[in-house]
Amino acid sequence: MKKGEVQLHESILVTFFIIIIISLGIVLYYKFTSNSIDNYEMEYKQQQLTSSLIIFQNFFEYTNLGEPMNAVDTSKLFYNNLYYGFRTITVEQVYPAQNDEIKCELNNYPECNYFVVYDNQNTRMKNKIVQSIPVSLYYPLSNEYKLGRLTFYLYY
Amino acid sequence: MKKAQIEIIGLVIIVVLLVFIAIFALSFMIKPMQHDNSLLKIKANALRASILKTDICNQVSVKDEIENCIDGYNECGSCDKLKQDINDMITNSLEANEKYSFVVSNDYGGSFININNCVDSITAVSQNLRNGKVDLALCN
Repeated sequence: MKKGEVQLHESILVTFFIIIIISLGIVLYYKFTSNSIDNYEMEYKQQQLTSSLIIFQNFFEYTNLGEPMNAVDTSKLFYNNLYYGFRTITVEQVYPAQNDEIKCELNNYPECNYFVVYDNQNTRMKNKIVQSIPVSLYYPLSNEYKLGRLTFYLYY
Repeated sequence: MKKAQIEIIGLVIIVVLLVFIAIFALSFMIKPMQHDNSLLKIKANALRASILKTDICNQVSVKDEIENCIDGYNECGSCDKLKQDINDMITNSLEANEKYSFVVSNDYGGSFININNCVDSITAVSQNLRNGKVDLALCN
């Protein structure tokens, strides 16, 4: 093989490897960017859920002579006309603790401990984020406060 | 410089370039997850307020009973039962992997309840009582 041909082959090989290295760099950069965007999306969903947890209590707050008492009025949980998207919202009483979970309906209130305030699931959404927060539950019939947990399930 | 030496330098440059790209990629891929403390703080505030508001018996709240116990008397069973009830309340309200610290101290700096399961990364909130202070912390 002539010397020029050898050098030509050499140059082609070097160019080929440099293209591979640059392609590798582009692929890695794409993966990194895609990962960052997914993380931002997840962070946004978490923050959205946290805001919902805080705002939710305002809709069902127990007020005494107009003054907010920082508790969820359990009698209001049955009357909910708001739309929260694809979510499930539950309120469960954690203290006093009870052995069985009794879903609250109008006919068994307040002898129950688990409220399904909103339930809108979509079978096509396979993933969910769950966040919960302790809340104070007020039972107006017995004028007492119990401890509960408000849980939001966000489907996506 | 001989031709072979020049070619070897070229190869070395390519290898060094590859190593830098790999280090750059790895450093971003294995970045440690940063915990969001804002949600912990909101939870800690909510837990503290809810627990203190909860009625133990006959319209007597946990806050009232803690103040009673600090003063040396009680209205709803023993003060040891109150501590156990508070422990149950917190445990039932949190997720299984969430640790907490709950400290009730009187005005003289003495400790009435001291439950400390936190090692690091504490998000704490406190509330003053008539005769003491309640500190609640949640940690990762």
